[in-house]
Amino acid sequence: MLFNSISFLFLFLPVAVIVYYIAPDRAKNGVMLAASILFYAWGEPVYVVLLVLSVLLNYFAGRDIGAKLEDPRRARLAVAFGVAANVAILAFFKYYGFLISQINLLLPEEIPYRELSVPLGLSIFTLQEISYLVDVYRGKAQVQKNPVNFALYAAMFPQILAGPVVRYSDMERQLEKRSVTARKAGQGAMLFITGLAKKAILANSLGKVFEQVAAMPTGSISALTAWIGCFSFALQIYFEFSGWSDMARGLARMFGFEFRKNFEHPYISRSITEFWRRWNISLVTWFREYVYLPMGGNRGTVSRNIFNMMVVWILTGMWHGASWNFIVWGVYCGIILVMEKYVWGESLDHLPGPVRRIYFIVLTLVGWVFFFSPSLGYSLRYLTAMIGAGAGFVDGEGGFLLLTHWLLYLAAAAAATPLAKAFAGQIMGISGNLRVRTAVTVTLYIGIFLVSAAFLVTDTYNPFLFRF
Amino acid sequence: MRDGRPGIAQILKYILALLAAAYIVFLLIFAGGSTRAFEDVKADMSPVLEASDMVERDGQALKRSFGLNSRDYSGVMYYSASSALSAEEVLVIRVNSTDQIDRVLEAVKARILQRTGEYGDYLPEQTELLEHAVQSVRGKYIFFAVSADAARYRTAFDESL
Amino acid sequence: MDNRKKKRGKTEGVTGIVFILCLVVVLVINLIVPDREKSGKEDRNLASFPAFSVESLLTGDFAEGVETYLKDQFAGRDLLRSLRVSLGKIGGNRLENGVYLGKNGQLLEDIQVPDSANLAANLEAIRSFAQSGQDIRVTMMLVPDAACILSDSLPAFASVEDQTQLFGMVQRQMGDSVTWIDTVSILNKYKNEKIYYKTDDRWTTLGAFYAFQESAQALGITDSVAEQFASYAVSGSFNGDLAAQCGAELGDSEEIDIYVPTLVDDDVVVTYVDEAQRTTSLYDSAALGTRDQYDVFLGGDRALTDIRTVSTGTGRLLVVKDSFANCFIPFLTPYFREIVVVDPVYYSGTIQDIMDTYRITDVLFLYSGNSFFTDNNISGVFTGGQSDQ
Repeated sequence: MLFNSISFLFLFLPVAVIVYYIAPDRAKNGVMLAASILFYAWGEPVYVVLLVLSVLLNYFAGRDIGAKLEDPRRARLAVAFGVAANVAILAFFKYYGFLISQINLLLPEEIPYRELSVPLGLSIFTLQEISYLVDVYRGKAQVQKNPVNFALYAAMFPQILAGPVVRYSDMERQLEKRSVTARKAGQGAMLFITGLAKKAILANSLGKVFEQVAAMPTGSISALTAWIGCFSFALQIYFEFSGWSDMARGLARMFGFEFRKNFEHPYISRSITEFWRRWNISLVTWFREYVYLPMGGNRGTVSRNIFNMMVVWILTGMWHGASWNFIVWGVYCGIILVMEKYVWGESLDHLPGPVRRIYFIVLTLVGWVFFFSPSLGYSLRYLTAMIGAGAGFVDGEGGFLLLTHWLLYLAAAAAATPLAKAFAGQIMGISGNLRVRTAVTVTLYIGIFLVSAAFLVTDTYNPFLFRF
Repeated sequence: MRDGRPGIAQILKYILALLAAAYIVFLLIFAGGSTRAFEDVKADMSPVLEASDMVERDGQALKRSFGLNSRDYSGVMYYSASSALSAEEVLVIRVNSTDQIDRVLEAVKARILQRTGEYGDYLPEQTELLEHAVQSVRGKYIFFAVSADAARYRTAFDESL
Repeated sequence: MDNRKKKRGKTEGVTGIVFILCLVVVLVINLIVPDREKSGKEDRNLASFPAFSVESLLTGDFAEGVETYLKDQFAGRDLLRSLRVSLGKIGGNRLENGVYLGKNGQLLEDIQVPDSANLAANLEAIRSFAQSGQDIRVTMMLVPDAACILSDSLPAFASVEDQTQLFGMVQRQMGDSVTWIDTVSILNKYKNEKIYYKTDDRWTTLGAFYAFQESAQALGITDSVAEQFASYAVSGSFNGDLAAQCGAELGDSEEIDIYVPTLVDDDVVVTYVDEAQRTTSLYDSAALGTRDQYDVFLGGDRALTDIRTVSTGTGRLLVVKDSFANCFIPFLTPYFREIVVVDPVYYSGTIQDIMDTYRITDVLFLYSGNSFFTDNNISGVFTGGQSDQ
């Protein structure tokens, strides 16, 4: 089940929350683990076995490393084995089909192969397990001897589906000791509702518009339509991703866990470098900690640093999916980041604000074209449509899309910036009286929740963009 | 555990890694879908089915029996017994997209119900066959068989993927 | 500062408790409220709780079934739907679930583009049948959908595919093998009258009547048909399938008319072949009590219907059709001795079976553009060859 499914919202969640709150402190981790396993098994009845095996494998791998900490050589071998095993499983599920299909292109006759779908959340829990093993090896964290605690870290239902990727060192203490107060539960609820609204109302509606544009042959898309399509996708993926992150953080907080923010209004950035400090922060941090820095980071020569950066960005692209357009997108981001770091970063700082924002928006949107295109050819054709080579600059279709979604775009633009939050804050703080303020806050959030539920229950269109 | 003997954790981690790999292989062989073209699967299974008493049927027959339109799917192979007194039939369908799987499985379920009602107590051997009908979903391939040889056809299907 | 924080904490705490309470309340309500079988507003059956089996659990079917069940049986679903659609409308939305919310409450279904493989198969099947030298007149009548004729009612800036061009392409491909009826020009003449329903994708009986008047000659009807029918309203509370599909205009009520021959007797014997039922009326008044009142015409869409009339005409007509033809066929009953109606979506026999059983002299293909272009059943009926079980 997904967070935005009815089974989850109105069946699983209330029961899980109540049982958790009633349970004595010692049992809370066990309760949450049981709920998480049930949650995962519901969506992946076959792969839950794999999840359990992976968790156990890493539990013992962790204890093994812990036992060998005093012998650097043996410890290094142990952590290498653990990381390799995890990467092998991840790489197999995600890329084996892609690999064979690419080989098939070269062969005269295609080799048929067996396919297996990618287990839900595989990337998330694998990355988290790797972070545990490496943190233990580096001495940043203690070995987790309690299997329940470790399993909870790896498989916790708030973030197993779509992140954020939480590093073990961030969660270590919270596994042993955390508190649940009404206040935290409330904050968690508010965060969860915000995330749900982002997904159910904004992301889904924007997705519908994007789907319409994506269904049109590129030759008949006017520039206006192409830009609308691209904007819609950019906003959709932001609300989809940050919505899931908000829901994850909100749920976690309802159970006493604090996760760091995963998105910081990325679209107000004025450079691509700044963007990647505000977008999917947990993933970028993970890649920096466990790939970039071990490779040498920015120590050594400039060319070595550029190499390191490109490797990290190719991997980041690949992480999003097994297809060439994601790799191209990764390379694209990598190149721009390298340019901003070594070539035009300083000149960029001297440009006036609005120019920088335009620079940022154009580059980001072009990047998203690579991201959403099913093939390289399509992305190039789409890009040319964006400059008018498709069906001219403006046409009725584009006008129709814009006019029939003006409120959506307004709301989306406001929600993508700190504006929406400030506005909500104004509404909630409207009176000095505590009772009135509480009533307003509750009405506002429950109202948003109600509208989200209306969308979820009755909308047929509800995609899950991230088969991670 | 600081001397050369391997610790329990080390042994267990190797065992679990092996188990995980074994599970994945197991899934590939027994539960994985296949990218094999429908024509190839059909070519492999035809000899087995032709050797039986069943006759190959066309799209209209599929519609009559299951209420499914063969043109909705990327490949349909339907064999059924030539005699109206026999419940024997074998169906292999390759769907275009996984959302179509539900509809096919429901049609199969409805078919079994309907035929069980038809044969009822008059032909208990046929009702018996219906009770032991075999079905399997492998990725985009769906297999359904009602027959004394259902297991054999299932094996042929598994091997043809 | 501390006080403000404490206050905010209290607010947040209350919000949290209320939220959880909401979830619990909704859970309880949904457990208590009994399941519905059909949705009036959405014109479809609602899912019931899925059957449990180890197989369905392992394939994930059971989980999906539970989710669909919960969504369909969610208490207050209709209210929530109107909330969402209204919000959408306020925000400017004019295209909901494939339906344009046009001016003056007119709903228009989006024009579909044909799948080239299916279309080619269908056209080939029809063409070879028409040319198979059986000495029968084959007429083809594709009716444009509302969005093609009533284009003025489309919302501002909406652009749909040009169905006239699509029809032209089909006409060219069929060439001389069939007699083509240009329904587009006919309906364009009367576009300011109510020839399409506002809440349904089908044409009104008036629209069908105009089409009949101008196409009678091509169908081989030599008598003048001008004064031969009188109209009667059979319903004033019709709400069509487009309203159900998009969730707007659900409160709109429309009239359904039937046209009865004035100069001749209209006794008929109608046999629904597959269901083995027989009736003496072209109209099924029981349908007027259901949501889909359009089913009053010929009892809705059936696989095979055989209509015997008291007409003095010698022709026996086969109509291959979708639901648009249902209100058109009553106009033909005074002129043909027998009318056999087949709907390829439900019919599982072959055309040869029909030709052998009934001594057909004329064939009419009557489809709406959208149905015809999304159909993939026609070719099966015409090319299926094996004898059945």
